[in-house]
Amino acid sequence: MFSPLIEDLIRALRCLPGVGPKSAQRMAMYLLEKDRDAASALVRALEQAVEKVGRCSQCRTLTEQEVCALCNNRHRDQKLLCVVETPADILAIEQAGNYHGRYFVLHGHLSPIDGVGPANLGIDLLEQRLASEPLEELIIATNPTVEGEATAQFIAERARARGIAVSRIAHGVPIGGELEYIDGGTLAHAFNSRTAF
Amino acid sequence: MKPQPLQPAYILHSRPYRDSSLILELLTPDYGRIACVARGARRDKQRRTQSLQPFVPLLVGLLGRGDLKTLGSVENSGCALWLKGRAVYAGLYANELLLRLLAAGEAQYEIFASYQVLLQDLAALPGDSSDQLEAPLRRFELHVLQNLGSCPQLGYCAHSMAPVSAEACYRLENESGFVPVYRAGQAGACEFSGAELLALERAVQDGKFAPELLVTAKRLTRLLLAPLLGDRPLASRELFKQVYRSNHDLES
Ligand SMILES: [Zn+2]
Repeated sequence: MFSPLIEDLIRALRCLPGVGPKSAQRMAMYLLEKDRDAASALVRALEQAVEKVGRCSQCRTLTEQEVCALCNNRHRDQKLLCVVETPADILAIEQAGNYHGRYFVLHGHLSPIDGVGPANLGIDLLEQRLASEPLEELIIATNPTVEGEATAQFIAERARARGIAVSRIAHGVPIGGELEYIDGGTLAHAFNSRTAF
Repeated sequence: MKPQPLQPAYILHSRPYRDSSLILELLTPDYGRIACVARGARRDKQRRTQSLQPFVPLLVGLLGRGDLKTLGSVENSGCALWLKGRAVYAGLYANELLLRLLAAGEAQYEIFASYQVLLQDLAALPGDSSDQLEAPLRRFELHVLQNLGSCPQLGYCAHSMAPVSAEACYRLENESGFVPVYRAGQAGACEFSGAELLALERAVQDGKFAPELLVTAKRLTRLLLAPLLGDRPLASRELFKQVYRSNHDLES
């Protein structure tokens, strides 16, 4: 239906999450018909980012710098380290705004069946940091899934063996939620980790 | 097509499929291990993925005639079991073991029941040591092997066709079962005393393993699992070994 180059473009756009054939077609038409400048800017931005963005040598988040801005920020609390699964989790926690320590990004979670082990998650780098930095608390903010829990357990044992206090973010009832509509697993967990009032 | 009644099920494994879906490997009584697609499960994050977790007792509707079913309605059935600490590794190990050993689509009533017992046992543990995990896991492994016809009758001599005698020594032979050994001296890796076999038979029933019996049970299940697993080791067992090894490194 379209010429080969346009077909290629549509196919390439479909690599994006949530983009099916229809929306890929709409995007391609928009870029070619309405906004060639934006298309060129997109090409340049993509090329630069793909070529230069790597991982921070300290926290493994995505950055084109050797050490990311957050790790370089001397106002962040050096005694706190928070372990997350993805760079997007850092963003979410930063937006929440009440954590002022630093981060470590695993880029995933332990999943033995899928061949994801400690080496894939940079646990050796994390252990170097545990050994060399003046940490007082390691906060584990992996997702409350089975794999997230297995990962948390693995990291917690490592940190405790080095005498570092370990905490896990609480999981439970969302603010504004109604108990009646919350699944049993979440509610049971919320009860088990209830706090004194 | 008339609606099928909901099936009890546990999720053994899930992996992303296409843009927004998941492929789930389920354990059910009627179909044993069975794969299904949960459409849109990753898009509807809040509502669905929270119950689509391993170790959560579910009731599921499975649609379609092919090997790969489509997940219909899902309900939580009963209380979700939360495996604490190291118990979660044991749960992942059991799931991987079932994925490797069960053929798809064969009814597994006994194995489903012993999986439920295993999860209850594991959920009751504090999870702060690996030793607590051994007895529930050995019992589960032996149950699974027995139900798959891969474990000869414990406490039964394949030569005399009679119960083993506690004082005698027996060798596990893959085809026939436990056969008597008449030579004295050091016991080989495939050899078990009659007393051990009788104790194992009791322990599989009541779940009570004396510490030294756990060592024997591990030796037996490793022997029986080896030909079934071939040269591809269980990844979750490798992970477990890493947990041990590094902690020892730190302590020494
Ligand atoms: Zn960084």
